[in-house]
Amino acid sequence: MEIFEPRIIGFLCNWCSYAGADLAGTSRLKMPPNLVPVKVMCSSRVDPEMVTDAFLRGADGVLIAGCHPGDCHYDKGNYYARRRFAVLKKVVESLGLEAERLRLSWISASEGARFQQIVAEFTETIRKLGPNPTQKETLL
Amino acid sequence: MAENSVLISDASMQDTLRYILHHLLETGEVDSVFGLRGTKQEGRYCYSLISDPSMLNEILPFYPVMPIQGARALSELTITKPLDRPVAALLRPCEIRAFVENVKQSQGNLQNIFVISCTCPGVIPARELLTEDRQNVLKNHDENIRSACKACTEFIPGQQADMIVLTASDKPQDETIIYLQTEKAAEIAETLDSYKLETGLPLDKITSELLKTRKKALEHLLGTIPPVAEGLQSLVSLFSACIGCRGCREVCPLCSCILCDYETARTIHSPGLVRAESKLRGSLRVPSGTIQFQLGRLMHIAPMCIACGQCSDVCPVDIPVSDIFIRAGNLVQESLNYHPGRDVDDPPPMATYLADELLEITD
Ligand code: SF4
Ligand code: SF4
Ligand code: FES
Repeated sequence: MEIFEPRIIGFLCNWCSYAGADLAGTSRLKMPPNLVPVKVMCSSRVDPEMVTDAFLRGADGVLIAGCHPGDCHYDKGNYYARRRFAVLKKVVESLGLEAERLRLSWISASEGARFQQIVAEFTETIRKLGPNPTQKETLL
Repeated sequence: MAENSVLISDASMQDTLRYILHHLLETGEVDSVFGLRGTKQEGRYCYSLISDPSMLNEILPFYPVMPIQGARALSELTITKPLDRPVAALLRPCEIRAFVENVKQSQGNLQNIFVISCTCPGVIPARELLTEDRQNVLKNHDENIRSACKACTEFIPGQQADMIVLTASDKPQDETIIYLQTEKAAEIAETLDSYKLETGLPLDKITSELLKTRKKALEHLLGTIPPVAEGLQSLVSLFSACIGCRGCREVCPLCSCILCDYETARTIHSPGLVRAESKLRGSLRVPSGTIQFQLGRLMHIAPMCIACGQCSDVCPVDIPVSDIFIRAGNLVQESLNYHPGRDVDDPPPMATYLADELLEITD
């Protein structure tokens, strides 16, 4: 049987999580190859529409990762990002869609191991959920 | 001003309000009146700004229809500058809430608006009143109001109302009762010698049964039965009927952007994308972007949706748009602890935050 390999989009903040991902790489930590990173300048750059767009176009999961609360390079961007994520998640829930496919995590530049762990964990969660049903839909 | 002071009139609600409005215009207390007016054709209504007292015999205070959301019209009147002369505006509670949200977004101004509102019995979808069956529809008012109205628990206007007409209450009233909520309202009432002034019962006490009924309907709407759009399949089949008219957006009092994101190249699917997605899926409905548009509108509006039901009223293919928005709005507003339309001083939900909130949705 073919193993399902999820495709996960990761919006990573330049100042923390992207650096964390880099560190995981340079530390040669083993990681599932399922996450496609997209560098953003701050977690608050992620417009929820970018997430629903990815979701409707078949991404099996979307991870947004930014600096820990209090540590945002722009002071409070991640607090706004969290509110936007709440809206996104609740809207998705209210429609009976799978909110588990969306995740917001705080990963600092020094947390290479945490990055690895979150990617591994999230990939497993999505693997269990199976392919995103939107891939089969013919109406976007 | 004493709490629960009321003005009592033996005349009908319509005659009483016409009289009061006439008085306000004649004495120069207000410059114009904003409210619902009948047109020459039966079943058709419109909002108007009336400055000639003799035209007030066309005004239909709280007649059960909302041709457009009043906040949209008021926003148009006050968006560039506040009113320089007082205007008496007849508004339903959800129109006031929507306007409060407009004010927060610099899309309107409350200055010089004397608000006359009501404990709201709900409105009937405009197109129902265009049918031959109009009289029957009106007679069975409670069955025929918008689904948003059936589930509306905020039918008592908030602090912005100067006067509140008791139009919905647990027991039918044989008099017209108007609550005087502000000093201004009390002052005006003093000058109207044809009416009695008394102390009424607290509004929440005499509408508690109605609140119960409405709460039950709201629970029903929020609950899973009947599912409005439960899961991708049902969402897709619901919106497969959407003709893309964008009517839901045009009439929404909170969709106030001059240029909607969904009219820009940023969001319109390019021909290349449509073809690629169609290849991947074997087929793709064109034009594409229907679900994305609704999801986008949901994410923009759910934090502030004041549950008026205007969007469902206009949808030509009967998609229960407002049911979907009310469900999403409830979840979103609860998680952001936001009460749209309550107070112009509450910060807009997406422009504020608490450092230690929403911990359960992040890690
Ligand atoms: S009003 Fe109805 S048909 Fe028109 S865009 Fe909205 S959902 Fe689609
Ligand atoms: S989304 Fe619909 S129910 Fe909500 S405020 Fe806009 S028109 Fe009213
Ligand atoms: S800069 Fe990293 S979340 Fe704002």
